[in-house]
Amino acid sequence: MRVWVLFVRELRSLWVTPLAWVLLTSFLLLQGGIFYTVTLHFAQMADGSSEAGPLSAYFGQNSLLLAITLLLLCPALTMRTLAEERKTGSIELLLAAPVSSTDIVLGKYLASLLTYALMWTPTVLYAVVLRTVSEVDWHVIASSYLGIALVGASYLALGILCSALGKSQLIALLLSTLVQFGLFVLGIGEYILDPGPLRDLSAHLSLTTLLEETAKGLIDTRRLVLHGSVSVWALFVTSRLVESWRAE
Amino acid sequence: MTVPHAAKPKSRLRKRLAAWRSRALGRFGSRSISAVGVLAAGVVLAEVNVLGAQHFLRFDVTSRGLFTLSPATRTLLAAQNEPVEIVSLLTRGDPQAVDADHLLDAYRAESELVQVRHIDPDRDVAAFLALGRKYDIAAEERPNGVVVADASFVVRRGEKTWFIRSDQLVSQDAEGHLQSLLEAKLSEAIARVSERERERVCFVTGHGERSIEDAGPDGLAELGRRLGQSNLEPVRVPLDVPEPTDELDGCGVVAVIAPERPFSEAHARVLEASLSHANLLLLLDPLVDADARLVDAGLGGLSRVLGVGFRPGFVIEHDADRRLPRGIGESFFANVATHPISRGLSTSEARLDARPVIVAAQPLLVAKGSFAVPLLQSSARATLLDDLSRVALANSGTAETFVLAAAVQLPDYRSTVGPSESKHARAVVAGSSNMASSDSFRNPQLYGNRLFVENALSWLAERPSTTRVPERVSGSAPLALSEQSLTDLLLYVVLYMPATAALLGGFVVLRRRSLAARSRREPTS
Repeated sequence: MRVWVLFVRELRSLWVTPLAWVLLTSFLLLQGGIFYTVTLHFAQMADGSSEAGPLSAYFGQNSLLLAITLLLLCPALTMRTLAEERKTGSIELLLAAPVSSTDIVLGKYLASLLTYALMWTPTVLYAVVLRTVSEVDWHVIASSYLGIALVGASYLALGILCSALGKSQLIALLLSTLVQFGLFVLGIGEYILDPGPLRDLSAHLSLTTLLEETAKGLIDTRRLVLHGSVSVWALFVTSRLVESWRAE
Repeated sequence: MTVPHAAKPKSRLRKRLAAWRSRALGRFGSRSISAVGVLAAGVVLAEVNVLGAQHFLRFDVTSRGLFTLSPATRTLLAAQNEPVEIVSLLTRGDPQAVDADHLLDAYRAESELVQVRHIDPDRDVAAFLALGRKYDIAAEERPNGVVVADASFVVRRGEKTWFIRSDQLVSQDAEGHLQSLLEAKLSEAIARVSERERERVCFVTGHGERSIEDAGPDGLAELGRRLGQSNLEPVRVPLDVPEPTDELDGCGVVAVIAPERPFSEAHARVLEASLSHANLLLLLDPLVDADARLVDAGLGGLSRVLGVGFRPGFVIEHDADRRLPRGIGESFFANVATHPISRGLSTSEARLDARPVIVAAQPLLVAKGSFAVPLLQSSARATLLDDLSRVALANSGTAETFVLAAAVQLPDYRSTVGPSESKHARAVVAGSSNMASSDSFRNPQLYGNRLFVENALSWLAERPSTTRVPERVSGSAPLALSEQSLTDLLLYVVLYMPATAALLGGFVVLRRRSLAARSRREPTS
């Protein structure tokens, strides 16, 4: 119940300010442009048929563009969750309230996650539009969104952790972008490094591999375990940090 | 008088934990405790991921089950009791690479006995060279920059090896749709290396044939070595024994290469009988006796069965584009017809750097209505030298196109001399044996020869697949998008949707501000 109250509070604070709407508008503009470009490319192909359709390409094969979108979106969504409250001092009121650190962190996390999901929701219309002119496998679409949700879950959790570590929104944004970009670059090592434990690690962490698999309709439990465990770990560490503020 | 409640077990435990916590906090401080907790959580995170990476499942949610292993493959993998290694030699730039990775992951998820190794010929050069040296696999760079190895996959278990070439990975149906054979070929390879017995390729001797033990340039030692690498067992079978009738039993392929003496009737019958259980490879040079006269090989009966005979004589090529500079034209490049055996060779449709060189060949006679399909032919300007005393007149004679090699597949063969069971008998017949010599395998300029012989043996050694794996239809339906549709799409995704979000956001923010302003005014009023 306390988590719910905090969740609603955080959600409201996100959506009544211009930030979320500016993010949503920019996001839809960017995604719309990418999707149109991909569809145009497929429409112009000489023989008209190919290994993958435009949706699969949008969610998976163009995963570099998608990854960059996520790297910009997730830090922006989470930068003010804890950093802003610490700076303005409103965190003191929250810590004094009869809510646990875990409740606070979970409430903020769930609000960010729902906001992230709401931002992606309009893109389902792309598949609806394309259905009139091509085959659409809805199972694969669902799998693609699962991939995006997995990435969002872990990146948002890391973003909240960075927001707890940073003393201002800007520092939180930079820290979060650095961490997530670092993970992304580590994942690219799969294509660069020589065979060995480091390449195996890169392949395991690879964001492009996850998006490519889910865009094809493949769900691998390794990715579920990775992103689930990273989310849990980041939220645990954040709650320990918040608890330490309470002790101070 | 009240009786105190007995303390409940849970509250006792909680009290003990609280007491321990406060002692620890007092001793180490809250930060230290938190740091230990974070580290421990990090260790758990790593351990969970390591376990998750070793034991994983994959779910294919596509409506066509594109990435689901077939029941045949799952049964095959469940029956494995020893590790099998699949080495992928696809480069990152290969269009098959991504799907192959997914399929190999599916194999690994299905059975822990399947081990997968990736060697990119482009990047893992040392590893590729080592493997290439062991199995004689070469790589070449295609015009589009993609490096392609001879073999795309090497499947091995112990000493047994099976190779899968890149051209075996896809097929095209009549409508031009690509169908992936990746799973079928991988499963077949696993089945083959799991077999206890290797297919025997029997090299007949007793008539002066070339030997697989002869390591000289004209010998067959290189061919024998390559057969061994391909999970085939080359054996030498002499027919010049008292009772040769059963000598060729147990052979999957019978090879007769360059006999120097004609076959006796008994030996010819043994060869014909072997068709009931084996396929034939006949590479026969023109037979010349001590008086320099061309003689018959004594395989007339077999020729009648196959529908292909030999015409004594030497083909002399007069086309300057085909004949080699040396000699009188007896050495030349052959024209290649399209057939699975000529895969990878330069044909009239595909110009590749692989043309077979024919030396001192006799032409074949293909009977009308027979099942023989020409594989190699001379140009239309070739002539036949059938009298060795008139070599000086080699340039005279009627010019015509000669068949130099043919493939035969008898759809319903019943031997009149052997067991009477129906079988699709196959044979490859050629009027020259130079393509099988070790020189053809060692000399890069004779790559076409090597390819022809390897393809011929692969075709002859082919057996029905032991695994019934359906082909996967790859590719998606084409987009039916007109210009108007594209314009509408552009408006929807780039204009209407973002604009709707912006308007909605503007409305929410302005409404909130007006409500806030009203609430500030109301208390004063």
